[in-house]
Amino acid sequence: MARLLVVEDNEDLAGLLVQGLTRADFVTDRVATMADARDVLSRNQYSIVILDLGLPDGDALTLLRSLRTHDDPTPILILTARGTVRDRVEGLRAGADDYLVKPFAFEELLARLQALLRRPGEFLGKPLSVGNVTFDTAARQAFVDGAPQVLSAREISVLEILIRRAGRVVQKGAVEDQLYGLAGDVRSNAVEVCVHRLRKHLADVGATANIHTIRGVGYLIREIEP
Amino acid sequence: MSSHFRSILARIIWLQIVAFAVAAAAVVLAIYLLLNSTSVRFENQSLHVHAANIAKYLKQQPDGSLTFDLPSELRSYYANGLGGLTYAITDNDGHLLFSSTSGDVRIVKNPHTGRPTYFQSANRRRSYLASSLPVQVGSQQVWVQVTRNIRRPGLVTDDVIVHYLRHVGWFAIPIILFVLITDFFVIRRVLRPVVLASHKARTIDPQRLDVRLPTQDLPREVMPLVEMINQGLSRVEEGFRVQRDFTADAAHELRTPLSVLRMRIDGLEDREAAKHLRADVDAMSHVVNQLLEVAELDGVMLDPSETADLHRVCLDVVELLAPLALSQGKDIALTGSEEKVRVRGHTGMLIQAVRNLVENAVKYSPKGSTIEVRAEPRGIVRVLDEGRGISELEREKIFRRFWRRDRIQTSGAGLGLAIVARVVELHGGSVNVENRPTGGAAFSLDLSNALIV
Ligand SMILES: Nc1ncnc2c1ncn2[C@@H]1O[C@H](COP(=O)(O)OP(=O)(O)O)[C@@H](O)[C@H]1O
Ligand SMILES: [Mg+2]
Repeated sequence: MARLLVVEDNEDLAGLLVQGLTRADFVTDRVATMADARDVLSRNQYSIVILDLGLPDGDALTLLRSLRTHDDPTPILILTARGTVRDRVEGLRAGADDYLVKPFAFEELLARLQALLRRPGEFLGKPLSVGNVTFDTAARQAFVDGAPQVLSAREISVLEILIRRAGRVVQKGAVEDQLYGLAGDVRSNAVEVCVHRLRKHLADVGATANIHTIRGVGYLIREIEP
Repeated sequence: MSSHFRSILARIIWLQIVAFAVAAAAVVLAIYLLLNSTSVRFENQSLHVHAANIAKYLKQQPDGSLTFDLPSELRSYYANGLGGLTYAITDNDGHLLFSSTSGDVRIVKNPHTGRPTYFQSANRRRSYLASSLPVQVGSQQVWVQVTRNIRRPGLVTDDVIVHYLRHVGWFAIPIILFVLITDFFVIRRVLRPVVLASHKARTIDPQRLDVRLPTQDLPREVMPLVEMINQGLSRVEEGFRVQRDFTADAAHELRTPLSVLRMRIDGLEDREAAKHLRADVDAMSHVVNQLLEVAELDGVMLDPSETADLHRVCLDVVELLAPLALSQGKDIALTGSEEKVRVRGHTGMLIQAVRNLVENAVKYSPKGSTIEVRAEPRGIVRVLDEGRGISELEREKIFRRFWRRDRIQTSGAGLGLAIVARVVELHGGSVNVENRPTGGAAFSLDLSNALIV
């Protein structure tokens, strides 16, 4: 089970964050200052640190930098009110793994945490789902409305990469890379053909998720609105 | 002169050459005058000697009359004008008593000084140098005047000057050259701290306002200038810092409570109410973000060394906003160049601009329509929609802050297009809007000025 550290000085926000994260099955600790953060980080191992930047005892970027100079690999998600592009670049350069600006949608935060946890070396999360389509990442098996689906290896790969980023665009290049990873030749329209087949399959079996083509950019899977 | 020579070094060298030329002319003139006055003095002395010698042959007879008994060789000497000398003797009233020539005697009315008088005179044909000496002969006072006819005055002195220039003057040229070359190196060395300071000044830009010009080793004359520049820089830096701090503080104070509010709403039991409240908070957050963006863009300047790829910018925006468009039943597509379109500019700000255009396109076009975003190789980004378009009358108003066509029906603060205009302004480009022949608005960001080819 993933253990998170929330470093946030605003009491209300910290309380709500801990509450929400606990409900999402994370074990969550919380501190309000850099000093406390240093202290708990030296004693415990965390899966992710959610870091506010403006803390009472200074700019948390200094904490981030010192962690990175000591080769601490703990993934760090900055959650801050500093929203300028310059701030974002500075945060990522200091060694943050992700950067989310307040105010944020809690689902967005969860999605980003999931993405950080799914990085190589991290354990795989729960089965992913969009509408009535679910995908078991461990077994690499797709279900529609609970019924297992027979799909080609390519279709499985494409579905997996799309469903991992459900609701967001996956660039065509990323899908191509996924297919190149498999044996066999990839013709220039291989991705299109594959997506087309997958889309048709989902429609045929009454899936409530649809794959959209964003011309010039890539693909996106999302739930069909009722 | 200052318009010809922009370099201090060139100015100094040039002024020195002028100074040398003036000095050389002055030296030649001074030598000429000196030689001239010396030769005149010698001349006068010799005339005086002649006059005194002539006076010795004047005698007063017992009856009071004067005789003048010049030996014959002297008489012929003065008569044939060897050496151009003539004499004349007058009484106190200026009546001519004796003279060396028969005609054409020039008598100068003697001033009664009791001392010899020298004078020069010249007419069209001749120049004279004369000495008039008062002499007491017995009881009588007479004047002996010796005159030299100088047909070519200054002949000797002219020769000397020419000689000087020809043989001594050349000497001066290598000396002057040597001085000038030495000057060149000396001045360059003296100016080095100034040159260093100006190199440093070149590195100042809005991203590097902490730069200060070095004052070490600077000549006292330029020190005040450099110090004032440094003070000015400090004030500018301070101004930027205040602006940034304000924006950062405002951001913190507004965004944190909005986050709390949003999380509280997420936790509500009543899902239907929560949905509406969430939409409200999101709209409010959007306005807050836009206000902060406007404030931020007011205090910002571009780093001229940064580059951005317009194709990439459009790609990022479409990727970001595709879910929004789809959720409203609208299609979105990236067309145009598939290659890089590189411009001098700030990726983040350009994303901000294109994003606002695409948000509008999504917001102000009907369900089932398609929004098209394209980066063109000429450095133009177009955002095309199938909505109602923008009427002629509205075209300049829409870019004003807080202007909205419909204040009641749509959410938003009317800041989106003002942000677009500001970003484009910072990039030295322009933003235009037209209506498409098929209906709908066609916004274009013209950044061709910033295009890197
Ligand atoms: N693509 C468009 N089609 C039609 N009207 C538009 C479009 N873009 C902007 N407008 C009009 O211009 C106004 C100002 O736009 P903007 O500055 O983005 O503010 P906001 O979108 O917050 O109202 C909008 O309120 C709208 O009336
Ligand atoms: Mg707008």
